Amino acid sequence: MTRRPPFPPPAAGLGPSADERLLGPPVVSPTVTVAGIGAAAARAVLAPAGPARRLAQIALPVALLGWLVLAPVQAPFPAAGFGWWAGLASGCLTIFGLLLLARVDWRCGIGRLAQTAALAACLVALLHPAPGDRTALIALTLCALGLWAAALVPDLADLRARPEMPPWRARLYRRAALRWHGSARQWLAWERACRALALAGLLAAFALQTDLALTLASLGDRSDTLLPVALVVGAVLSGAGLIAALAAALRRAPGFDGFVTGRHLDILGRLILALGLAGLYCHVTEAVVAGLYGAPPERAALAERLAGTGAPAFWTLLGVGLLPTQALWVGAARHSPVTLGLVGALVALGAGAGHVLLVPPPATGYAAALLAEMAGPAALFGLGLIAAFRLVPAVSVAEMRGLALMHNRRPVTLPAGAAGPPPEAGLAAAFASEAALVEALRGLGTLDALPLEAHGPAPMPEAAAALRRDERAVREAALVGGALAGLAFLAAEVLRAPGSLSDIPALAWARLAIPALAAAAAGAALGAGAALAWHLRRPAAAPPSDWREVFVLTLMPDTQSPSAGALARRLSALPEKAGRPLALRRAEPAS
Amino acid sequence: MSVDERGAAARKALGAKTAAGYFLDPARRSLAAFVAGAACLALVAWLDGLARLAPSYLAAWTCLLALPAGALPVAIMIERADAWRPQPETALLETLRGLLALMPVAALLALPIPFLAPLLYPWTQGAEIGGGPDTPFAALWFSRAAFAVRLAVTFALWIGLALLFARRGGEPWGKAGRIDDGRAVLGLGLHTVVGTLAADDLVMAVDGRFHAAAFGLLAMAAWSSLALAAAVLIAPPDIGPARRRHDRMTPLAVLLLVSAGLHAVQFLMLGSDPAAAAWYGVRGGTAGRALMIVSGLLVALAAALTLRPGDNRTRFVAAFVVAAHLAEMAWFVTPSFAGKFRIGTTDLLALAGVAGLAMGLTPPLRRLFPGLAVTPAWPGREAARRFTERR
Repeated sequence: MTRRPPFPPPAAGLGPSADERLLGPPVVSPTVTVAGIGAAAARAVLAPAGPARRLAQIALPVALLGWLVLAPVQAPFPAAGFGWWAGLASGCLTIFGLLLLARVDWRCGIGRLAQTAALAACLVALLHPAPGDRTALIALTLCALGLWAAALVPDLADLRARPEMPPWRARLYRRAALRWHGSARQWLAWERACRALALAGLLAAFALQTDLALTLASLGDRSDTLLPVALVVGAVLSGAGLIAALAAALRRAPGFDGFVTGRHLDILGRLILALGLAGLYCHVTEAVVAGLYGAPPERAALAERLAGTGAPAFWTLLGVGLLPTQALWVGAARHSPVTLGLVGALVALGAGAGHVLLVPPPATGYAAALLAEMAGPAALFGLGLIAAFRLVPAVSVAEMRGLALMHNRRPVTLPAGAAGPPPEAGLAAAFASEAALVEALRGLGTLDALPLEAHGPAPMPEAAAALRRDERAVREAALVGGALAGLAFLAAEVLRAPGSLSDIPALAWARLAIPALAAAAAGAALGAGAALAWHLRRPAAAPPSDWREVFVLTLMPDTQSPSAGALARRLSALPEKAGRPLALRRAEPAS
Repeated sequence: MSVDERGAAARKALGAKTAAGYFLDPARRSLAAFVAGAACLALVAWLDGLARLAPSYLAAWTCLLALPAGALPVAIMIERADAWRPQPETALLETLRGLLALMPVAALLALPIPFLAPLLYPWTQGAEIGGGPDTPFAALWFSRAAFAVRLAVTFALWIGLALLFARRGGEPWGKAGRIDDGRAVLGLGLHTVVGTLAADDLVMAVDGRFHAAAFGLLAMAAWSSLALAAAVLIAPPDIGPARRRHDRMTPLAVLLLVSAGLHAVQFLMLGSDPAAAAWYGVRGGTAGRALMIVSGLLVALAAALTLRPGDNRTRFVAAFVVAAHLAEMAWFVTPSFAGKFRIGTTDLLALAGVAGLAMGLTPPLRRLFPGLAVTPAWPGREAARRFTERR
């Protein structure tokens, strides 16, 4: 067996840098380059299945078939399964959404895992009967689907142009990527759409968990105000556990250990530890407040949970879902992919017990229902993940490129000027970095007369600012979509309610705010997605296909225009370190 | 000569010959504030009696406690977030660390509370808690000795945490060591437990029947929102040649949303519970509804302004947030005694009294806890430094 090299590779004779001393290992391996990321992603989606995946591809369908044939048609955990899968989806989307909105750069290695797991968990949750209203879950599914699809667009555009792609895959990727060419305006729209979808997903996740808590409270006659908080914490904890387990597994894939580094494992471990403490806080506080201040029925319910019929589920939650997180106080446990993956998987499984506590026990018994859940919905979830990662890369190529450009600067070499294909129109100039492209734009001076566009392998906020590009459609569409959907939901509820408006009690109005928030999130997601699709359907000049890993400045008019030649001369005359391009190409004259 | 001494000399040189300068001299200012604060409280006690003073004092003291106790988790979070950002948010963080210096002051001013307990907490009068018979544990818990011990432990832990997280003020990153050394998780965890204990023991317990497990989180979110808004108001902007202005509106809006969300969830979850209905009933008069509407509008305004943040807009919102949260601290406490929510002269005098006592006690307590005296970015100090340099 080949022994895997340690990561990060030990620096020969050098101690850790100041950054490393302060922050720990880097978020991306020093060996990762812009060109290498796309190639690794293409290799991963085309790679033949290894032994583990082959085993999973056989075992999971067998389990699913067995469940379909042997088990009753209905879901094994009707309400608890709904809560569990909805919690996993909410947790994954919440973690990724928060990291994206806070612009935390280490999210890049785990972002696609979180998005895909969230979407798959949403779809599995939809198979379970909901204890109450399904609006929030549908909203969460829309947000997860929108975010997953939007984040994929640049990656699919990269894959469609790779020569090693079979024709059917290239066709599929070409259609899905629309007219993506990585222009500054497209990157702006893409970033804003992803942020809007992430925010909508956060709101939908909050609405889903709160709605679930309110429904369960009304069903079980509970008035424990920590229940919504406990559900949110449990959901995020189970999501973090699932992401950690998937990240630990992904790290075993060849070529991916530079993307999911020791730093990811360390931070995920800390996150799980903190959320585990938060989960313990919720359960202990609930028990103490019920014990000290609670009325006799509350105290009886607490005793029932600790030592009565709820005891197996409660102690499973504590022993499997919460206590193993405390092992992550030890640094070695956080840094070990096996330990972290195991703790993550236990935490994700243990969250199910928390939902069992909230509903009547299943008729078949807890153990049988859990086995059926693992054979059916969980097998479907696993198959969904395997199928997704056969089609799309398991890490975000675009975001990893941005990270590599920030952390691993390398000298860029290009093929000779005449070797590659010419641009579709006008002029194309290649630059090693976004900063060099911006320097060139500054050197050119007045830009208003020149229809220029910048293209790059990663988001280019500085270039967009230099070109005075702005994008408002996504934000406006999301706000309008959210407002319209929220109001439409409220109007529909008012029309459905018997009697006049004054007959609706104040508490019912307040209660409506939660599904209305979910509807607004769904509307915002649809608005942002539609605005991004509108951007990607607009015609745009494409840079030369072999320059997709460098920054390119293009001129729109055809080469017969005198401005193309003049611009080429002005660019070539710029000083070498102040914006002179690495290479220039002009379109062939029209015959 | 230290920055403090230079500032004092500058102010002395400016105002020594005027009456205002005489009273505002740093050497006398704290004593004057202490005497004025004590006079305010004595006046309330003389006019309205101790029974009326006690809830107002508790509400005013909660406002004071909110500054250091709310600043603690925000400082920890900003410190952690700075580890992921290219440029740290220095001035706001230093201002929050400056607020931590109020923790021993709040601890000292909490001393009257165990003595005022018979006027504040129904359990001291033998009232039934939660509508059921006391368990042995509850009987032990709801005793005045246990209450005093819990208060002492609470403040010992809080002062320890304040010392731990204020100590990093002014240290260059290189000297501060690994940022993710576990202090953040430990600090946040301990603060959450201690804060819940304090909120339940000191604030929620003023109503004998009402109880909510999320009340601790709700109070801590309000404290943090108040502390952050106060820090935004007094912190100077981060300046420098290559420095980008940090957006301070977003963290403020997030905390406001968390606080408002917890309020909404508590209200929805308690639903038609009779004890909760009574609790909300005495807080839901005209003034209570006005406070709720204004707070809701503030949350919406802060959320909308995250799309167009700016220093002046953030300070404008922060000023209203401080006012709304100060009123909220009274909303938590005084209606349980007065039967309705209103802020009267007694409450304002009590607030002025506690503020005066705090201003008077802060300098000597800062000398007692030198680890808390690390506030290099206060605007007054900077102005004083510039003044002495000009001279």
